Amino acid sequence: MTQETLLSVKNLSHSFDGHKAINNINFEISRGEVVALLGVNGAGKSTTLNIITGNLTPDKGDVYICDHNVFKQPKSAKYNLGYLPDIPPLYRELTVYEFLKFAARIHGVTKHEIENKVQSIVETCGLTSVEKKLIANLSKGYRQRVGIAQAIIHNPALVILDEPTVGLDPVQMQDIRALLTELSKNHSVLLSTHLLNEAESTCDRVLIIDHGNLLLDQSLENLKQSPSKRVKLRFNGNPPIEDLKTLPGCESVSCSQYGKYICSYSDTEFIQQLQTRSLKNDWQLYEISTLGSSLEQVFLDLVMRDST
Amino acid sequence: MIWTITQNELKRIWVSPIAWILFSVALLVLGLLLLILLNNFYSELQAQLVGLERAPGLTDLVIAPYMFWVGVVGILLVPLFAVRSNTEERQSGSHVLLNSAPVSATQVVLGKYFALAFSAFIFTLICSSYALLLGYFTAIDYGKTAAAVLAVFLFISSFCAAALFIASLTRVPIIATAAILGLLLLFVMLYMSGSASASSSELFLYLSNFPHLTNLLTGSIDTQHLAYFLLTMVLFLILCIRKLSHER
Repeated sequence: MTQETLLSVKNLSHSFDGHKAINNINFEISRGEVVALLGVNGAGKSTTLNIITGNLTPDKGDVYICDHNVFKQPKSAKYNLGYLPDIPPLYRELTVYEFLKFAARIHGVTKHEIENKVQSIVETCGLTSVEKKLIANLSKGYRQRVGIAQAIIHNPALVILDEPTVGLDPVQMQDIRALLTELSKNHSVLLSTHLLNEAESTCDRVLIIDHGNLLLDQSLENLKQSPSKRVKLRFNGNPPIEDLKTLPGCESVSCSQYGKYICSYSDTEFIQQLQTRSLKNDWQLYEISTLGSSLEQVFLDLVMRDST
Repeated sequence: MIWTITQNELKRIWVSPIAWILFSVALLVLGLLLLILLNNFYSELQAQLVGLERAPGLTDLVIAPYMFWVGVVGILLVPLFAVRSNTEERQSGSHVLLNSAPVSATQVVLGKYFALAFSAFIFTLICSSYALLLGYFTAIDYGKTAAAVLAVFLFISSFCAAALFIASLTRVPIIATAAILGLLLLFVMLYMSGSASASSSELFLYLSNFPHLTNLLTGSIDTQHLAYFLLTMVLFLILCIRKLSHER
């Protein structure tokens, strides 16, 4: 049985003043999945999330949330979306209760449901003690909780969180991660972070993005089970991805920068054929290295700038 | 949804002590101004009017100029509220809440505008009550006074639309405030240069909002002036909606 696709990102590209922030990003998230979007600062994570949530119009590509196009049917798409950006969008002059009530109303919660929803979200997010306080007077940890609360108050199918633990102390970080684990029981979550342990402890699948290119889209389970079936290739030339994909046993190919490719394969014949094809087409292959098995090793292998 | 946004904006505007302080100072200044105008009327003007046929009364010589100053003080308060409602929100990043919610740009802009216009309405009403109090002590022309109240409300609320649009162009409050005051200065310059005897210009006078206010303050409700205020409002609101839609 195929799982329902909640988020579908197709051929997304965007440039800022001629600089390509993201380049042809494609991925999907199914119901019940918790996916981490990993990348170093400036990799293109926030740009991707801003486009998905309708805060930025891309140069190219489409985003579908529950089969609704975010740019053509924004209202229907956004009913199914909860978003916490890197800076929580809070009104400092309101109390936590007033703010959550407003967040519920603009997300379409009906008047007679509001009281119950606010009370339940206040309890879920551990905000009972600060419910009547002004948001301006809250600690950063509590503000982050209020930010998460506004993202889930309307019980959206998809929750997108952009670096929810950044700037928090270790205790606050632990609290927010516990909240994320709780959240993942009822929602599909796309979590942007550059903290690998956070991704490992809370997510099912990882997307690694660097220089605006999506380099890896794999479940954590597969990542740990098949370390030897993934290689980093370096060429002096720049062979077309389509040619690499036609090699026997090739499962996926992504290009992170000129001449640098990440390939997954199922058959060792792939390596033999790769060498033969490289000689024949003068691709000048000079490195084949196996990627590590831990998320940290994979991440470093993928995003390390020219290490040779 | 528009009403939800309006309620929230009103709460955000009026929860701030700065808004209350400025509002109180404005009322105090206008109260003093009314006293000066009254004093001038009783001590100087009244004696000069004796014997004149169809002489102007208290409404023309006290209430109309007083309401003109209500309009001027009112639009001087507009930048604070518009910048708070729009620019500060963009600076703090809280506008993302509305951008990510199932709310259209039109609903956001109208919600914010109605909050500003409602504040302008309350301000006009409270300030007008000073003038209406005079009705207990002497005869005033209620028709002319009502026209003046409408004129001042349209004058302030149309400027609110322009200020809201300007406030959506930048994330820096000081730049937005300066730009809104710049627009106000432009209106004053157009009025002054358009009405100067050496360089009078019908176009300049039509473009500035001041002549439309002064004409309505005479008590004649001319659709030409009403249309000017309504068109200004609609034009700037459309520009603001387009700006917000373009960002999304």
